[in-house]
Amino acid sequence: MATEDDSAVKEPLDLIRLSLDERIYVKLRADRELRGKLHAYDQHLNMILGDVEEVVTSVEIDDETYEEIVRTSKRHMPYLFVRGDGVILVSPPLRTS
Amino acid sequence: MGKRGERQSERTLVCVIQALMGLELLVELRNDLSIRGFLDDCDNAMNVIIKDAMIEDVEGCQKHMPLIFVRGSNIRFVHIPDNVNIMQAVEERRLVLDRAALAYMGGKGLAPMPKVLETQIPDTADAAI
Repeated sequence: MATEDDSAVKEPLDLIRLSLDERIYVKLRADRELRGKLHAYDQHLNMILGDVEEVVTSVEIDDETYEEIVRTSKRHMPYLFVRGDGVILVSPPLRTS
Repeated sequence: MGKRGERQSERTLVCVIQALMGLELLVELRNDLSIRGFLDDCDNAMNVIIKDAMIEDVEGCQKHMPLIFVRGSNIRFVHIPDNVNIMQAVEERRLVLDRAALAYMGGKGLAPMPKVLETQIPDTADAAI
């Protein structure tokens, strides 16, 4: 939420500044991913995202066959504050098509 | 316009949470607990006090607690209520704090005399001297 005095990209956080008001992909700890519109961020990577979809991935191992079952659960949230210490990476949304 | 970013909280997004004080919101913790309640207080470290809280775990087990303190580092998400204009709320809070600071320290930089409460217990030690 800082005022932009200089629009040059000087440090990694400036790259996130370029994504303001754009849709982004955020990878979080605990096998979670978010896709939403970036409204605000700070130096801790606390973020405010709008129109967010959260994907939680869990891997279960079958007792008998020992095969990995990958499960995902999704949630949709209109407006979310994300605490920065859970953020691993921030990126423009991956093209999954 | 005022000096934005003078306060420590205004340099980070914690001021957004602080602007939601008094409102009902949903807080998700790192241990997958969800707490729905009224945000009573929030400090610069995002430590929060939640009143009238309903705590729900992953299994859906609910428990009611009247007052909870949560250490900020345990918070994963804060769901901001739909009907709130967050930019306006943050700006309003900033103005309130600015006005309070001005009233307290306006001009001379001296704190005003504290109000004497009517319920103040008389100091018996003084009477003895």
